Formats: sequence, C-alpha cells, structure tokens
Amino acid sequence: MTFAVTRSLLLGVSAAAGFFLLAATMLLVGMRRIYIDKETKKPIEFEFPIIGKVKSQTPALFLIAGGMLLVVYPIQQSGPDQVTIQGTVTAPPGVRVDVVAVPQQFQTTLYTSGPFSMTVPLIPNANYRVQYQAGGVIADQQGVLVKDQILVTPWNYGAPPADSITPVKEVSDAELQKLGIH
Amino acid sequence: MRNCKSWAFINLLALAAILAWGQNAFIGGKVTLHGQPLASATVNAYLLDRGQTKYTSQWSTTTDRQGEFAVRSLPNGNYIVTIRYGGKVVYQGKAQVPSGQAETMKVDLK
Repeated sequence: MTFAVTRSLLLGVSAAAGFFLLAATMLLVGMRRIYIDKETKKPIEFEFPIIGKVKSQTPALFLIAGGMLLVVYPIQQSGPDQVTIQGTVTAPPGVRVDVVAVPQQFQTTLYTSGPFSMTVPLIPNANYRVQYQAGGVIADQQGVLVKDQILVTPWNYGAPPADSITPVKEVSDAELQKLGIH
Repeated sequence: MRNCKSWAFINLLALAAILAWGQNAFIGGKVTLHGQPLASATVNAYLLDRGQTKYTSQWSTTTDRQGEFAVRSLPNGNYIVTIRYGGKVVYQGKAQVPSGQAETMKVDLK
C-alpha cells in the first residue's frame, strides 16, 4: 500500500471518528447523560460582567472540541498535494524573467539574478515544464519530473552583456540634460 | 434653449474627435544587435513642448523576443526616444510624429 493511500485512509478514519464523536456528544447532551456538575447534577454556571450568565458543560465541550478537530484536520489536509520547484536564474541587470510552471501556469517573477522557489499543486500524471520568459516570450523551458521537491538545472539567460554594446547617440547627453531627460 | 444644448453637445463631440485624432500617433520599430533582435530593452518616448525646451510627457515600453516595440495612442509632436538595455543607455535619438501617423524606427546596435 502506498504512502498516499495509507494517508488518505487514516484521514478518512479520523474524519469518521470525529463525526461519530460529535454525534455521540450531541446525543449524550440531549439525553442529559453528560453535563454537569457532580454535586448539583446541573450545568456549571459562570457570571461574566457584560456577557452575563454562562452555563458550561465542560466534559461535553471537550468532546465537541475533540470531535471538531478530528473532522476539520482531515478536511484541511485533503486538498491537493503540493510540490516545491526550486532553481536559479542568471540574467543581465534590468531583464525581467518570469518562471512559469506549466500546466498550472503558476508564476514567479525575478527582477535580479538569483534563486527562485515556488509551490504548485501536484496533479497526478501531469507533465510539468518550467518555462523561462524574458520580454514576454518563452526564452527556454525544461521538462521536470514531479516528486516531493524539484530542483531544476540553473538557467542562464543568454542575452548579450550591455557593456559590449556601443551606444548610438543621435542626440547628445548635454542636449538631453537640457531637456530634463536623465 | 434646446438648440443651444444640441449645439453644445455637437461641439463636445467634435472636440472629443479632434482630441482622439491627436492621440492616434504611433512610434514603433525594431531594435537589433549585430542584426539579431534585442529583447527586453526599455524604450522611452519623451514628448517635447512646442519650443522644444523640455519634455512634457513620457511613455515607456520594452522590446519583445523579436526586438520589436510599439508605443501607441501618442499625441503628435516631436519626441526624444531613448533605449536602455541592462541599465545602460544604448540609443538616444529624435522622432517626429505627425498627427495620426506612425514613426517606424530601425535601430541596429553594434
């Protein structure tokens, strides 16, 4: 039996136990089997300044809280499994790189070179790809095999370095400064 | 009174049409480096005032994978166009855009 199946089974058992506990508690409270102050056989009463009198049936409250926990936790855990994709992007300054996980189209945007990490839902039998987009278009992509965690090969945006470009200045720097353009 | 209102409405429509026509100019083009498209370069268009003493408005866009860019719905006038790449200014030039017309630039960098 795989881990995922065992986990689902346990969560199901937990939820069923929670429902049972809640139902049983309601029934017992309804039948006045649990309440209650030992001595007086009545609910314990508290008096608060603003709220006023509050009757507590502590054992019943514990049972309800326990039942709720057993029900809520499996529901919370029953969402899709997630997987974290990590990698590193190297790009020239000023280049924006969007890393997109397909097919879910989850996206993270990098404005500087460095590591990235994003968590995406795990869809069974889906073919995941990590796409690198620069200038709004796909510059490169890698297919990834989805496990609990994915580490993609570092990616280098193969753009030419800005320092190697000779600027073309049909308008001089001085003229631009005079116009207030910096 | 009714005629007066109609007349005002027609005038407003005419003014809107004139303004819309004036905002219909276009600066576009292609940026290449050694003949290859230069993606992700930032193109700024600065509209100059009538006396060309200062700029009054600025538009910005980036080149796509093909090195192409387009700044649409511009008012007609004289523009300074700068292109930045990797934090460095690689081009600065002038462009004149008549009303409703397009200025197409080809910038080949070395």
